Amino acid sequence: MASEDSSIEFSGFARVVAGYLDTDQAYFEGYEDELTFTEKSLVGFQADYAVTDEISLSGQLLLHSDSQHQSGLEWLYLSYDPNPDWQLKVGRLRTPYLKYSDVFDVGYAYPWISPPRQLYGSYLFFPRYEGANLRYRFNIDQVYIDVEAYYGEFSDDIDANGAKFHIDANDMYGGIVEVNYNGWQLRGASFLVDKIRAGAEGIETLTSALDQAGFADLANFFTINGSTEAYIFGLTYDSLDWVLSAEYVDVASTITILAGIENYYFTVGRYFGEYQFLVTYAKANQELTFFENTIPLGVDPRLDQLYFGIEEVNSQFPTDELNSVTLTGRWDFRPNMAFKAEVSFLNGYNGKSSMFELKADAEGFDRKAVLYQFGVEWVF
Amino acid sequence: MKFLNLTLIVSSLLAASMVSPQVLAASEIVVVANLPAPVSMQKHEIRNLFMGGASSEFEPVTLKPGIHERLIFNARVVGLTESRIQSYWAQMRFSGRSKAPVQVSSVEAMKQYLLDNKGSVGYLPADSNVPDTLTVLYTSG
Repeated sequence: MASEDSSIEFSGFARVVAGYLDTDQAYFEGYEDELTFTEKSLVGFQADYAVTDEISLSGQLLLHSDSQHQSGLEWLYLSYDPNPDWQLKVGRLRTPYLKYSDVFDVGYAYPWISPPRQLYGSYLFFPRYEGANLRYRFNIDQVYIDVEAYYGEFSDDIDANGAKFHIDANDMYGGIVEVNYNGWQLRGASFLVDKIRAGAEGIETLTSALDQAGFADLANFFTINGSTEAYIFGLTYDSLDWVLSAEYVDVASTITILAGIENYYFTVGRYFGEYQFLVTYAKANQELTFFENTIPLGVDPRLDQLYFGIEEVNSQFPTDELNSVTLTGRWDFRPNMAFKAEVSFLNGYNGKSSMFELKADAEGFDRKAVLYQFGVEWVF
Repeated sequence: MKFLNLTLIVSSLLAASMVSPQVLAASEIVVVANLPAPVSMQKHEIRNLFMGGASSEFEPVTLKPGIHERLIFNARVVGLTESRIQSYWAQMRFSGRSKAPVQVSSVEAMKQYLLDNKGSVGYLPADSNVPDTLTVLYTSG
């Protein structure tokens, strides 16, 4: 991996992933009932330049085959390592909330093709931030501890099951503690944002119309402006034969669509030499605040318009309850390459978005589908 | 003449298989270091050092993937499969945390690297002649 001379090193990663969804009524992560290669295939290049023994500059460029995903500079930061225990990174960084969040594009780094989307697919977890990250490592006898803290801000467009939002997140911060003992790792992380503002097409117009018409409660319900706290707990065990992995996330927010999320997964896997087989169960729960459309119908045509307006917006707000069982096979056929195959049985709920993007006239879709994927992962 | 040729081929093939690394290779390794004064290291400290643990005194050196002694080291000291170790280093490198140890392509190159670099820590077959200037930190098995 990586070519190098005295001060600059180049490395990279690539993945080619194909997927097929067995329903003609919806999309899932962009997949439909047609074999497609473009949704997750990508290539990334990284350059690390050692300015001095203690200071280095790193950049990561990502090229995505799918136009829905952004290509561009994912990372660009200065790293200051005054000694092996401490590391300070400043610049554009990947947000490190879940175990594999900051290597989400490096499929080679994790066992699945798609890390459980009930957690890793959450639009709450903004993929990158502009800010700083401080890391400290120490050990107490055989227990090795890694502590990180980060602070920054994020501003970009995100896509939630087809609905586009512009997000501004200021004062975004959190911490991570990883406690390692032999093959075990216990991980706790927090992700807090004091102020998130999200703008979506039509929502501002609707909320100001609701306000003017005297429906302040309803206007409030649909305003995406507030604070969020997420706490994550993870447990991993790795050995020559077995791998166990579980993560749990709990989100509390003053923003209706982010409130009451409690998602988790657990994975059990077995190694057979260069082969690995895994079973993953994942579940997304969201306890939604009750929504009641209090606008009277048939009194005034303008009120009627408002009534149907908020019904429409409400139906587009994502309600991502979904459970899934995923079977994964991985074959490390060369030291830097792996072949993977994955089948996910997706079990959503009628009337919820369940992470699907419905096609036109698919209201009767039962939110159940099977996703087949296979791919090759490469690091160089 | 043809018969003789065949015998030669068969016997040389047999001889080749007898000296293949699998047959001759030791099944244990010794972890050795180039240090000014002898120290002792426990297995978990060696594991941590080779998995990116913080150290300003020691520089870990490994053999390239696929070399027999590396497999023994992975199994006996690190306790992880080669594929998991590779995934781990991909995660560390591309998240900007730490980089994999220096890799050398043979046991001979390892011995030479250890002799040439103060503070370096590597591993050799348990039955090899460890040069006097290197310190044995740990013996597997």
